[in-house]
Amino acid sequence: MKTKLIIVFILIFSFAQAQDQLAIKIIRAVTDLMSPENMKSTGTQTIVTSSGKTRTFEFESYMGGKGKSSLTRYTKPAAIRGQAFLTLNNADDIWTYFPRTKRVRKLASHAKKQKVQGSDFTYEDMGGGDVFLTKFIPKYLGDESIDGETCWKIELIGIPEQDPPYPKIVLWSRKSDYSPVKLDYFDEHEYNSKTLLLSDIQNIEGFPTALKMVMIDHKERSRTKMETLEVTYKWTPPKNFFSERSLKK
Amino acid sequence: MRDRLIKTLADWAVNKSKLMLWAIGLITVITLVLSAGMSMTPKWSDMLPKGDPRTIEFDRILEEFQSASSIVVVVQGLESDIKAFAEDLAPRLLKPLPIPGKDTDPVVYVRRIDYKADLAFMHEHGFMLMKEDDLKNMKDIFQEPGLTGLLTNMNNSFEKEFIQPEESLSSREEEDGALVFLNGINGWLGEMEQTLETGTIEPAAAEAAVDKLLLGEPYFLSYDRQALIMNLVPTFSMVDAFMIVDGTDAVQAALIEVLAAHPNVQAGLTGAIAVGRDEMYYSTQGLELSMLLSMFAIGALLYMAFRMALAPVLALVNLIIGLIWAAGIVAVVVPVLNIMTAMFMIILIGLGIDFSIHVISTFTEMRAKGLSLEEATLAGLQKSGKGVSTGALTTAVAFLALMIGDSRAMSELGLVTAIGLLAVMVSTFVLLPTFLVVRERRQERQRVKKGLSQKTQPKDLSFTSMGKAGTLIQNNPWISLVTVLIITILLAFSGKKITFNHNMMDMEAEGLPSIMLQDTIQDKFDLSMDLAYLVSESIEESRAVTAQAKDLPSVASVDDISTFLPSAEQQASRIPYILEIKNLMSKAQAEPLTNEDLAIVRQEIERLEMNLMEFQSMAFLGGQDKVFNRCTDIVGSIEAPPTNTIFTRLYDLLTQEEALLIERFNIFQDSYADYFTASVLKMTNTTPLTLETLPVSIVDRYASKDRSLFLTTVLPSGNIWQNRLFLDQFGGELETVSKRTTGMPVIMRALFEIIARDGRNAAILTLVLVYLILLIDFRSFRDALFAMLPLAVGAIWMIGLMQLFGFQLDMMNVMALPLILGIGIDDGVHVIHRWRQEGPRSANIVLSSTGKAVLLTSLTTMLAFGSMMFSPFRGYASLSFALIFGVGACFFTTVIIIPAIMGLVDRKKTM
Repeated sequence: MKTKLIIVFILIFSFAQAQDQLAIKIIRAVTDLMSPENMKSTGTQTIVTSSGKTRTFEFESYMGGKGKSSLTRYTKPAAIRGQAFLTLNNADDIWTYFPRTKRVRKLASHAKKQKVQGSDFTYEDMGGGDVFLTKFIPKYLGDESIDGETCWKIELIGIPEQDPPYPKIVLWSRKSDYSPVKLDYFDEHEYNSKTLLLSDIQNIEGFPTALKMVMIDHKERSRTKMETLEVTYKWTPPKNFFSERSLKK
Repeated sequence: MRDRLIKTLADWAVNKSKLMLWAIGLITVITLVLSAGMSMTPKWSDMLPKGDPRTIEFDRILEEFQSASSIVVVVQGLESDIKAFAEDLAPRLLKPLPIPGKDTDPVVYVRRIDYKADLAFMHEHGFMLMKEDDLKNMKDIFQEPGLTGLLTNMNNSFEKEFIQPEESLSSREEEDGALVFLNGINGWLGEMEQTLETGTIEPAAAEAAVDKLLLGEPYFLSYDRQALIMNLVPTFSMVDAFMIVDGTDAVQAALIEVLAAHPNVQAGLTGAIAVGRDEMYYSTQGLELSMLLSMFAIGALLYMAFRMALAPVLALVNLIIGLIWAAGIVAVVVPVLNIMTAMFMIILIGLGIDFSIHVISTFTEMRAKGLSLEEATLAGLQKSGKGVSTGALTTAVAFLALMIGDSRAMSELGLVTAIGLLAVMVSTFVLLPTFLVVRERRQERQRVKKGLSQKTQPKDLSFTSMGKAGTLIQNNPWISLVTVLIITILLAFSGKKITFNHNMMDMEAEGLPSIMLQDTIQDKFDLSMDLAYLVSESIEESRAVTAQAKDLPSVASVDDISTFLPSAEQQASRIPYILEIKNLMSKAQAEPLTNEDLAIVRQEIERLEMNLMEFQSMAFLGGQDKVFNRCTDIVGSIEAPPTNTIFTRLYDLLTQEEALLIERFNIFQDSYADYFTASVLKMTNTTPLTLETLPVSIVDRYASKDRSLFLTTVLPSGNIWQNRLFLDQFGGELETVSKRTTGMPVIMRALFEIIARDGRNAAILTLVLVYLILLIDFRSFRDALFAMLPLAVGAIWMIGLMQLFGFQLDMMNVMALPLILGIGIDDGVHVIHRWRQEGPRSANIVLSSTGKAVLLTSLTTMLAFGSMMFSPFRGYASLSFALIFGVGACFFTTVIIIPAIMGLVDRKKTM
């Protein structure tokens, strides 16, 4: 009897271990996908203003060092053409340039938890890096189908000492290519505060790329749509590209 | 027993007419007196079950918290005009006010008016009320009163805005905070410009600019600064139904009086009390008009049908007397009518007139056949009486079945309508035959008086064409039944697609001034009037509940006393910053400006402009329209070089001769610096804030009369009416904070749930009870089922037709479903009764006689309900349409299905 119990215990333990290993493997693959070495793209961002109007911006975006550095410059509309944001060290340092006053201003590091200009994304949401791997403990919750695609459902529990961006995230990743299709972000009260939906996933230069992303903020009852118009992963940043000088260009 | 009773009544009508009339008159006078005690409540919460905790809590809030029952004055115009108007109106409203049109002594209706912040209190405790993060950010500004120092510190603080997460403009609260800051700077720069231009400045204007900079705008102004809200705390509450009308009318009259002296200002009343008054006034007015219209239309229809001038008069007089009896009894049983029960009279008109039609119809028919007065009275009552009594009983039982519901909306409507219906039925059996006999005798006397020996034979007024149609259907039953089946299937499919409209605003009266002003408040102040309330028994509980509610995803903002009464820990954490400010400011002095200072001032003004421009760009990208628009007012368009902004005008003024500039800058500095220093030092008061030290105006807003309860007000983050899922989310999340949550969103959510459940249960019970009554009446399972079949098919047609004509189900018209079960059954009952009396192959006589009565009763019922279409309350109108569809459908299904069944049954018998 005792032996049987030990075998059952070992089996359960091994199963749990295997599940954890699977979760880590999936999250590693997701992190690799979401953090290409370099990337250059153009796209649109549509927000809903506080008086309920829809406003669309066009921007060009550059990312380097697996998402550790990024530069986003707005190109349309004319009102903000040239305004740019530079994030360094996984969004720990954020700089912004105002073409109208020709001034560069630094935002504090903890601004990375703030929303990126009117959108429902935070600077941290936008940045890549290995946040999922370093600041969370993944747990495999099972398989679920999203829009006809079989997905792994992974729960990411934040490690408090690592200052995670959210206490908990639930992520659905496609089994076919590890591409994430949905992320539910939870706040400290266990409320699903935001949801990110990724769609129109196309294989571009070997990377499954979601050309449409919608972030829904359940608290503010708002949503932000990001659409990628052009993207390449073959771009290599010139030396010192992610600097104040590039910001002002 | 019924036959015996009918015989007795016929006998009394013929032989004891005078006594009957006297008795009826006496009962009518008594019930008329009783009916005067009836009143109406405009509160939706009064439709919930009596012991419902949400209703009890809501009533407790209305009773205990002055702020929950308010009249809101919305003033619109230019900023200076609306402020002047508010200052004139406030003292006027606090005086005793006469009620327009009433010769009574003036009464004080307004206890207090909140229309601007208590500046004295803010001066005294300003910093203790600021959050710790805000103090950290803002303390730099309060270091130097001198122009160069203040401008430099202001810019430093402004630039800090970008680096503190708490100050990011990501929520409405933070956006509002940024607006206060922008308005303060704009006001202060405005005074600077004025001084540079003229060399003088009014001390009061300088002090007001400092107040605005330090404490924000004192008046409750809209974002575009062209509307102002005055919150009137009345001496009565929403519970005092009569005071609502008199008090609101008195305030309105005073408002109009003051408006006459302010031609550029518009103002109106809204808020719970004003809306309640409008709803009560317009709904009763609408219902009175509806009743008059329906009576007129019914009278005209009856005149055409009976070609007897006195028929409609007799029927209507009988109905009116029946209604008076009903009102008298109802006033005793349910003295306060709610929004739903208030329409019971309209339902009674529609249904009660039917009894008269059946009795007059058979009476005239019998007289046309040559029967004597006695014989015709008895035969008329015998032939129609059974159908009328069974119909009345089935309808009354259907209404009584509504009492199974928990909601007062349904149970009280069921009770009062059933009582009313039985009262009208009794008057029809007692009064109408007496009237008909008295009329005939009077005619006889006149004939004798005029020397006419031969009595003119009354014409046969039966609808022969309906009889022919009935024969046709009877002879071709399968064609009729298949046609009905196809139509029913099509309409069932259509009905399946019908949706439910949860938007309560679509039920409200359109164009009511108080409702329209609610929209103005929503547009201009971004404030919803659909608030939820939570009551706490201590300040600590209120603080905890507020903190919990703030974190709910469906909540936009929460307001409670903790805004003005931070916890002891919070207050303690603020003290070091306040003491730092006090220390710096007590040492600071505004030195007269020199030539060197002028360069710094110029540079800092330019820096301030740049800061504001960057703020504007961030607001544009951030979608914070209010901040963006305010920045645009100050620094000009984001897309073009600035022209004619306060900064461009300042730059022009800065080109003046240096000596003159220094002199004028010094005048400006002298005008505000001492007041600035004194105000800041006053604000550094660290005396702990307690309930006792708060001004009454603030405490009254959040605390009950005896200060034992505290109110938390919760504003939803979305539109609760346009999205039922969101309403459920909001209500559900609030319940996790407290089970005692109440307010319109919570009450309406409960009403939706309870009425849907009540409606379903009542409908099932009605069907069972009606079938049992029919079974007792007909003593035949088959005939009882035949009588109910047209009703079942008619109900399907009703929903299908509603969907086909673009109607949705809603809170009010969903009541039509159980109602139609009670109303629609009558048609089948009358036709089956007559069929059983006339025997086989009798479709012709059944439809030409009873069919005529059924057509007339259907039309009169439709006319009565149709009159509600003219009610300003769209809810009544939607119910009206649903009932018209239902009554019409039941008529058609009855006159098609029953003759077809008669044909099939007769064929079977002859086979």
